Amino acid sequence: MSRIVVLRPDEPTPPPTTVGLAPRTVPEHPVVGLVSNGKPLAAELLQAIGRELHARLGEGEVELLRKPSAAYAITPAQAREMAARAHLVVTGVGD
Amino acid sequence: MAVVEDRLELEEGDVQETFFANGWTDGLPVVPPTPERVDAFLEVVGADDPTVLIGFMPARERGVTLEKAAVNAVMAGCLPEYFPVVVAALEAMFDAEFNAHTVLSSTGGAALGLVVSGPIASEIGMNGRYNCFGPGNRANATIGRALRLTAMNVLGARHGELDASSFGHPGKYTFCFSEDPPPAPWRPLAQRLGYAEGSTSVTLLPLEGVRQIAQQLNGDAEGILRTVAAALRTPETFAVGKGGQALVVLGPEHAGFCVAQGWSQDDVREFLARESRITPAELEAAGVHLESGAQHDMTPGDDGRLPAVASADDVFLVTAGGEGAGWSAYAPTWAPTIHARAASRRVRPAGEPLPDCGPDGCLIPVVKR
Repeated sequence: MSRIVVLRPDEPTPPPTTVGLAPRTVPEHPVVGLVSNGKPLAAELLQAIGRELHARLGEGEVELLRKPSAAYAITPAQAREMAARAHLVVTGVGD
Repeated sequence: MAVVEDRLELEEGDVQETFFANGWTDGLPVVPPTPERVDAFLEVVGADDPTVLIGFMPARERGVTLEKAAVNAVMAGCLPEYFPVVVAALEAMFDAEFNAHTVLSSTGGAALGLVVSGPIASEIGMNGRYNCFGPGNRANATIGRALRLTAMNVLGARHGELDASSFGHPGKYTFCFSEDPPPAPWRPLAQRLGYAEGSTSVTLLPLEGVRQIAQQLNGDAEGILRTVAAALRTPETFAVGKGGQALVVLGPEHAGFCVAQGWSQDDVREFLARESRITPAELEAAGVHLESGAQHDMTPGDDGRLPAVASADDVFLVTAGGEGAGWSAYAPTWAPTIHARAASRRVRPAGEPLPDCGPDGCLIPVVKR
């Protein structure tokens, strides 16, 4: 039996980047961000969750971002804006 | 076996099991990608630097280099002369409109369906005639397989990682064929895409499985095309009512009747787009609920109907197949056009230098077919 050299066909996956957890304190006026992926009932599901969170967290705001297509991620600008305003972001899928 | 090196030295008899164990195959045996075989592929495309990226997928932070494409093409069983077609198809896969990140991960389980149009197809021995979607032709089988292996191995498109296909379908092993040049005055797809005469193009579509269309007793072109339109508007197809794209492959008899009766290719595409439109009542009769307030606008048009294909431009009409009783075929894209679209590229002949296209590959504007 002879030995041969072969090339591996994949790219080694880099180890995941460690990201620190956001602070777990609840501000006086929490902003809950909701990102709907655009599928049927996704927004309705998230809004129900938003209402429940609003009731638990007290006065604050709930903001809903609807993606026009489930196939595309939100833009970096939308992500930055949401991160700057919201203290908690919930995403969800429909169908 | 845990593999950490880019090159492995193995007992020749252990190669297959090592590749299976590492999840590097599609379930079938592969040709061992030795450096010598890979170099032969890189030479054909004039790759001075094998680390050049064909394209990069920001959502996955992964890209495909010429070398990785060549390794996977060797594994698939390609010959070196097929590699320019593989590279062009991968360039199409990285077209932003193709949206490969979603195509490769969706539960809908789309195949990478590839149509090759132009002289290179016959030069490398592709099949656009009898059994063009079936087994038996090395170029058809292995070019399509090379795309899938690359997506699996480099982009993580495999079950358990980034491919969530609920079912998938056999076309996910390979789905590649060549256009049989159409009868005059119809023109090959490459020319209708805007590429110069004599050029070869690849068109990559995210496809469901191919379905045959039987029409063996009707020699009237409009009658034949009504049968095709009826196939396009099947309510259970996800894109029907929302507007997708479709690969429509007319067999020799059906294309011949259309040409003889004065139908142009644009006539056919416009007819199919119009006559495949479907009413909300027809969808509801099949148990399909209409979306409201979600990503798909399912508001009927002025004709009271909804599109199966988004427009005539979204009908990819080609001729292929062998003579017989009278068959055609079609495959719908797995999702509406708001999610992904077909993409085309010119195949650079062997020896033509690679352009410097930057980190995202070369984008060629979509032109009217």
